[in-house]
Amino acid sequence: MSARDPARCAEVRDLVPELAMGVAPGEQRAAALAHIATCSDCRTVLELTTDVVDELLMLVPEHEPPAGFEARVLAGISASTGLRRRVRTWLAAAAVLLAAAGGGLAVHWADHDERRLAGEYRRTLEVAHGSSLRAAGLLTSSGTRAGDVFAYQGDPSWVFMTIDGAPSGTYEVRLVTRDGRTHRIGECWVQDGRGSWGTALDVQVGSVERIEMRGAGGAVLTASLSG
Amino acid sequence: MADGDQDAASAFVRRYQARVFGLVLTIVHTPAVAEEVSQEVFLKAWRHASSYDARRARVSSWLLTIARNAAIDAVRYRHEEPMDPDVLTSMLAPEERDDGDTATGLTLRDALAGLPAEQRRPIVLMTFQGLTAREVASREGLPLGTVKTRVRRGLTRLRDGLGALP
Repeated sequence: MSARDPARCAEVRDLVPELAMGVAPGEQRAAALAHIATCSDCRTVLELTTDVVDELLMLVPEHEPPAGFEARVLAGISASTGLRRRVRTWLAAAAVLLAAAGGGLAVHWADHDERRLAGEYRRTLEVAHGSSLRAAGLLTSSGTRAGDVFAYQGDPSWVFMTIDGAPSGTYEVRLVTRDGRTHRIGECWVQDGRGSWGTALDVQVGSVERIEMRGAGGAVLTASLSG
Repeated sequence: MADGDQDAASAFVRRYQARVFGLVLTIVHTPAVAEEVSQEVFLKAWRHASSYDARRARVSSWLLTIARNAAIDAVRYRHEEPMDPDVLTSMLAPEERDDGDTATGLTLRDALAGLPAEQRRPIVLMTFQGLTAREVASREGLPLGTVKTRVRRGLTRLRDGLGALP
């Protein structure tokens, strides 16, 4: 905690009402928040004032939106999620292209919607001779998709994963092969729900049954590469 | 979107849609614009869900702050007429209490009604129309320091009024 500076605290508290109401001028806001990060007294004042403003917002009468509102919101969310996943898949596949020097790839996509993309990639990748590239969704224990795994069989083989929507933290990454053995292959850091990581493998991708990511908080993400 | 995601999103929207739309409609007051803005609010919330910190605020506070900011931006961007602050203030009065009010809400209505108008008015302008202290001062023909003092005193009185709750 920094040394007390009553003059600075007084200045910041002068700005607290505007901070709480979201109308503090930009530069002053940044400087004030920097002070508040180190001053628990000023932080308390801001929190109490923000509570009041939050309660003011709640006084406004509720009003049901027109019929179909929920469906329109969900359609918007769906569209943005789908688009982002496709864009991410494109980017990951582009990274694969760059790394796949000397190897032609037959591309298998887990998702029917991406066959068209797969066709385009296949034509491009047929320039060189091939191994396999597999993609699978990373699922949480409740079955929600929280990312993707790409596994390339070649020389070297490698695996690359992108995470979006998993609890933040460090995950231990393991392969489970068909013979039932577990291979610890590294750690992946997820921040603000997102992360990515990859590594070369010394096992055949074809022998991998699944990839598991185990977070310190107990979260487990699984991608199935078999079938 | 995975089925689990869809159910969660549905439940979330249904739970908060009246709160969000109510606030946005009050600020924007054109229903078609209010609906569009309200949809954007839920989209923003969905995209930034990972930045929501449960220790810092209730979900409703976080969501209504997004809604308030989006509504104020819409008014500015579309050059709409903002709502008359006196009309807005009357919606916050004790006479407008309804079943949705919590004990805190009822207390706040009374505390707000008990403020001198010179303190209440800038608070309403800044909270619901997003005016800065400087803009309020310019609009009301007052020194900046006077506006800031009145707002600070008004919010302190509201805070004390809420603090008196058991």
